[in-house]
Amino acid sequence: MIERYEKGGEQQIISSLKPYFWRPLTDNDERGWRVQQRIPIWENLPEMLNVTEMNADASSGSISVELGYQELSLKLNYTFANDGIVDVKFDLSIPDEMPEPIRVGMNMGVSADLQEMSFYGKGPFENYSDRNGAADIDIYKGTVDDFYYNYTKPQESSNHTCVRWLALTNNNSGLMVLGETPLQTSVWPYTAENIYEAQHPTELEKADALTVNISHKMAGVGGNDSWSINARPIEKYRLLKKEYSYEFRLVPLSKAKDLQQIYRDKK
Amino acid sequence: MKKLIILVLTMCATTLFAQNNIWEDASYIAKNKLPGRATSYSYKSANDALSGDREISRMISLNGTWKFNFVERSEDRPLDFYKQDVSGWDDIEVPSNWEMEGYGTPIYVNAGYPFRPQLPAEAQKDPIAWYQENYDVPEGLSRQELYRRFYADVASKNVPTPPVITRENPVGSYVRTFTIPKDWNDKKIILHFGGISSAMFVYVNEQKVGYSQGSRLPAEFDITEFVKTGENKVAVQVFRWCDGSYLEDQDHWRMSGIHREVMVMAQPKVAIEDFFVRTRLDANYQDALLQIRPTITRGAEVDTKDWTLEAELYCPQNNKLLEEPITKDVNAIIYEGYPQRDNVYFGLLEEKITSPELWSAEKPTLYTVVLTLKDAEGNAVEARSAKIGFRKTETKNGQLYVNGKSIKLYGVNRHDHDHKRGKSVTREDMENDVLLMKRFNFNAVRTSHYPNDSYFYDMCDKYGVYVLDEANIETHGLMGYLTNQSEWHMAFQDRVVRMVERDKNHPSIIGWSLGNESGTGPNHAAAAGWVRDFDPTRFIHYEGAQGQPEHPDYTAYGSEEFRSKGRTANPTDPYYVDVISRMYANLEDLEALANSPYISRPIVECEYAHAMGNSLGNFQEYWDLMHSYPNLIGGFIWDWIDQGILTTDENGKEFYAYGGDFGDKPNDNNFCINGVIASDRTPKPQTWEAKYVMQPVKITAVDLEKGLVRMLSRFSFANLNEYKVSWTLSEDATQIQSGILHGLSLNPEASTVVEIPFKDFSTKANAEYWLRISIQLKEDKNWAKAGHELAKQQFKLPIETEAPAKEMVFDNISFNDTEDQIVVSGKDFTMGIGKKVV
Repeated sequence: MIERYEKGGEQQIISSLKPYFWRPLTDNDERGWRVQQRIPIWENLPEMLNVTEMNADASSGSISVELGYQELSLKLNYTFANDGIVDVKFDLSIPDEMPEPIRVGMNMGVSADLQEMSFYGKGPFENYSDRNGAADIDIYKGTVDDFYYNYTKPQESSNHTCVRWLALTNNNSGLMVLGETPLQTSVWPYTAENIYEAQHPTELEKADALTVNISHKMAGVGGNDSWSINARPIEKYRLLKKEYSYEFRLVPLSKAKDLQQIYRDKK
Repeated sequence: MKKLIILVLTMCATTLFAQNNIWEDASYIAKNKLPGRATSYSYKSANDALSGDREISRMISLNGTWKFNFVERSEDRPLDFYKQDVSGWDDIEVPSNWEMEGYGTPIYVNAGYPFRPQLPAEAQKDPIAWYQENYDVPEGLSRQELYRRFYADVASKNVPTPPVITRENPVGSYVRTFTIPKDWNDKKIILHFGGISSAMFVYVNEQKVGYSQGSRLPAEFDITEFVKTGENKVAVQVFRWCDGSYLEDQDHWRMSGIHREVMVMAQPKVAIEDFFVRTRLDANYQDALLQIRPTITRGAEVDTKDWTLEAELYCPQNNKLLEEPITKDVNAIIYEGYPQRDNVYFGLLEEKITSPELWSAEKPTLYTVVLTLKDAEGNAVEARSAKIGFRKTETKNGQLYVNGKSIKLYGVNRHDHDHKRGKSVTREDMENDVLLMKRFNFNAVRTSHYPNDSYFYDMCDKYGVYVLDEANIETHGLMGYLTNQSEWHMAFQDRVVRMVERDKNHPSIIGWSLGNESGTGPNHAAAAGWVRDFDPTRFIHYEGAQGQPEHPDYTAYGSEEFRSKGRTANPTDPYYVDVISRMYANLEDLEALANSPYISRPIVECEYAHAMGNSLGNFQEYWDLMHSYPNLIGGFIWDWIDQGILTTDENGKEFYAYGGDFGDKPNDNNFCINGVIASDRTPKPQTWEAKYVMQPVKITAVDLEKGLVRMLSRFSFANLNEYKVSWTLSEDATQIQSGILHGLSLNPEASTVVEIPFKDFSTKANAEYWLRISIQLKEDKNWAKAGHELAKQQFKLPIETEAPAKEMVFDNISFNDTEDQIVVSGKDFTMGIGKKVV
């Protein structure tokens, strides 16, 4: 878990980068296939993980962390470079007896000052694995709020699939996330708990940190009904695999840069 | 002794009648209400009628400010208000729902009558837990058994008992004046209510005129004998609930009042009361027989000898199409003899029309029929008009055909909803809905679950949307009980018949729906029988019509054996429906239906893709399936618009309220927020996906390196060359080339490989190249401007540009192991990697 991230005296994150397997349940999740009853283990799983091994290797500039909960194992590897760049590698192995998660990924909190948002991925409107035909891949720019979709009853929202990179900045300073393979990302001005508990958008309170979700995969939203097991995403949009690996890079941005060039250089 | 007996009898009678209010009597559905008829207006001349501008017809709008009194309990309603001075009453705008004007409480409930007896408050959160706590319930019951007992011990006592309303019944009383002009003194004068919810008594000039219930169709009263030239007074008393509410248990906001327009209409004593237009296409869908069946009413004092009725047909540009008008002697219409056997010939006025332009959702060509009633001297007494379309619908080969082409219904269920006005929608709302449907590639709408204001159908006719017109019948809270009760037969029939009578001339309507979620039984079958005979030109739909008991493979609904067979047909549906309709069948079930050896009728999902909250996933898969089976004719998304009500919280912030936010009980929370578009009619992320999946041209990759793609037309009538096809080529997000494919001809339903002629270009390391093809309107249509995009596809070109990544440089990185973290320090940065997940 990256708990502290300072670059040029500036804090890059407000809350740590940690695994995240959940989402503020949608109506289909909660009323439909009852995620909270069927697979509740995943909501609090990050907090239940124990660090079983941690190694720092100065010669490669990397730290590896092994975490576990019962038979589940998660390996995180961080490789550091100049300018505060860090590559994060995530390898998850889920035991057969455990149910499927609804997300495989990590999230973190960054300063709410980083209101300028841009990304290269599917947009401009939110999209999910089972609902992303309409969205084109492009570079989209706006504010965090521009990309936050308010459901009448707040719930999981504002995800983008096929994201090559995501940048959050304030006067060109900030943080950029680049996927080794395309990511799914979302940025919430509110905490996940607040989104889940609020009954109306008026009950959403701007948090000190923006929640940045950097997901490898997320279950689809489903689209059959909202009251039965049929509300569950169809099989190909569920996370039924047992092994998940992905990798992304965090790049602190301190002055105007060609973000697309950073992306091309990385590849 | 004798006296005593009389007293006892009187008491009995009083008790009996006290329980039998008119508005709580299933057999009392109207008093002095005129029969249903097609929407039309009485004009002075054929030219006026041709304009279709009803403002110049013989009508006076009574929309606007009325005096209003509201009581929460029907017992408190003012009884003689229509005779009294009401100048001290409040003002209210008509049309409106009084709950949106500050009177009473809007209630959102899905199914289950809002006036049903309620469980105690403490039981409502978890009724089963409450039941186990408060009743003597044995341990270890199966879930099924537990529910069975709960139903027997508790829930059945909360089933309401029709026709009685077991809840306080709010009543709104309305009064206003209006002026009858002098030149109406020889006219028949009709008071028209577009829709009131749920029952009303009508008074004019302090006299009782009539009674009506049925909240989503017009109620018309002949008030000729009640009015005078000059100022007149109309008074209306509306009951929130009535026995008719037992037929109105739909999933939407339950609101009340005069919620549609009110007007006074005049027509001559001899008038074209009604008319039914059919366009019969020949076997080649080429020429048509225009058939008109008018109804002429005649005041007894008028002699109509040598009077004529003339019909003219005008093309879309309003040019006369017939050399001579079709002319019929009026007495031959009035005194038409009905035979003892067989029936009268439908086409009282009839003419062959050679090669008319046909009406379809893609090409909604409208003609105008103008009927002129002329007296013996040839003077126009009255003229009326209707927009009509030449089109033919058929259900055959397990498919739905329009003008001979098998079509799919890209449909959506629409409730009347406005985020500020509730159920009382404006003409602007209706038009916007249809425009948005068109712009997002919908071609069909189901008027869930009641007839709309007739203007809505005008919009569907004009812009091109197929309509499944649904009767205002839903008995969800009692399931299929009422359709099996003969005393309700008349109420069922009335709602279906009046809908069909009013809407029969709209070309957009391709099917009649007998209502929603009310089981099946003889009352539905009877309604279907009437419709089938009255209008054999459209299909009959009703999703509740399931199961065919006489079929050898039938198993009783709900039995173990039935359940073991999964959710398919049983094994097919009753004879009286023309399509097999299902709700929310998932992909497997839908495919099983499509493959069922028992089903020969077309299969439609009258509700599917429940778009509640963040939903509408796997919509593409639904349509991949629909396109792979000819007998899957499409579906209607549930539903069109989020039914949020714009409300202000205690801090003055606006939000969209849903069930329960007004303290409404019972309620079904946010189950009314299932729209493809948002409450304020703005698109949602889902709206774009719906549009994409339903786009009329499918574009797939063939050989992208060579720029080859396949275009598959899903148009039924249009050639692709009627649209603009353009493309762009981008390097990451920067456009580097673009072009237009001129004159690309592709017949409806055909496919072809197209080469996108991009030129060679130099590539950059690690850049991606995107080809995007767009199909747009070439010129303005009435529903969107030129350039509006109908279909599009983005492709990543398979160009290998991968170059080695820039090496990560690190020097002077040090690690410092502390209790909680390993601290990483490097040039200008520090990080802490935690030893716990926090």
